[in-house]
Amino acid sequence: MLQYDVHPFVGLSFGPITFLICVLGGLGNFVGGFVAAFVFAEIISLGGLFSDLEWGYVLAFAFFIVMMFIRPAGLLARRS
Amino acid sequence: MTDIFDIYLLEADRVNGILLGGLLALLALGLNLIFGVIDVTWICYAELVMIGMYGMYYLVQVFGLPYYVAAPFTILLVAGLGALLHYAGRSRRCCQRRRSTSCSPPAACCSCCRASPPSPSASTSATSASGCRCWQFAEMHFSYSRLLVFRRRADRHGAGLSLHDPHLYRHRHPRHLAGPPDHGADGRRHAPHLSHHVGAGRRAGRPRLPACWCCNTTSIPLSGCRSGRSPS
Repeated sequence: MLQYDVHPFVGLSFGPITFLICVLGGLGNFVGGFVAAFVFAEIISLGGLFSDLEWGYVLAFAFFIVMMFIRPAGLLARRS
Repeated sequence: MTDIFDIYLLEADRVNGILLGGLLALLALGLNLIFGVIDVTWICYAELVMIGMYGMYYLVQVFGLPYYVAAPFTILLVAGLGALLHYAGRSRRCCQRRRSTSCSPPAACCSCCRASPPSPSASTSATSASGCRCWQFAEMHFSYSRLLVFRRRADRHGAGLSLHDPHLYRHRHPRHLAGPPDHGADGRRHAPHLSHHVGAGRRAGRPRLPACWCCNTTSIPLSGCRSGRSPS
């Protein structure tokens, strides 16, 4: 089950992550954003499966940082 | 940290990862759409989503509406709020983009094609008169090239099956509109006409003599084909 509380600061829980996913997939790249969202969520969820849920976020952010060094233009960006 | 990421994955496994991925993909696609089309990084996107969540909560839990009735109302509410936000912040953005202190009427700034401002009277399209290549809608400027890129990407990735008929596209091609070509001096049909048909990429690999469009033969003598037409 996936449950959210609704409170006035709930935007903080997924707003930065949404923007981060857009950057990870490439800004303006639709398929890249779609794929990046699933990759990100799987890393969070599997990290939470093996340890605490916060470690899933740690793994996901570390993945983001590494991918920004490897492919700065996005996951599915074309090689120029 | 648990305050900020208050997401309750009651059992964290792969299926819940896919659920969370669907949620994040929905939000990320919205943000990507805004960024890709009107080139605005919309920071307050998540807050509008929060208002939509509140709207669903009140309509479903408090007022007892069924889910599928409440959802369109919530969509309308959030869309109206987005429009309100846009109109409220418009004049200030205009001044910032022009980097000038005097903010003349709103048509004075065109964000997509910084060359020249569109004429104030052109409310639907300002293509040729002022050199502004964008589509104005509700005081927003949509650049044609960005819209085309968006359309092309949507075509390439599956949405084209419903939006885009290759046959219609082919019949709109100027080479196709020119009609069937006359025979060349060597008695063959011109190849360029065929090169834009469906399957042109497959056909390009093997050289092939196209048939005459009027008498359906491949070998056409220099004097003309069987139907009596002389090659030009």
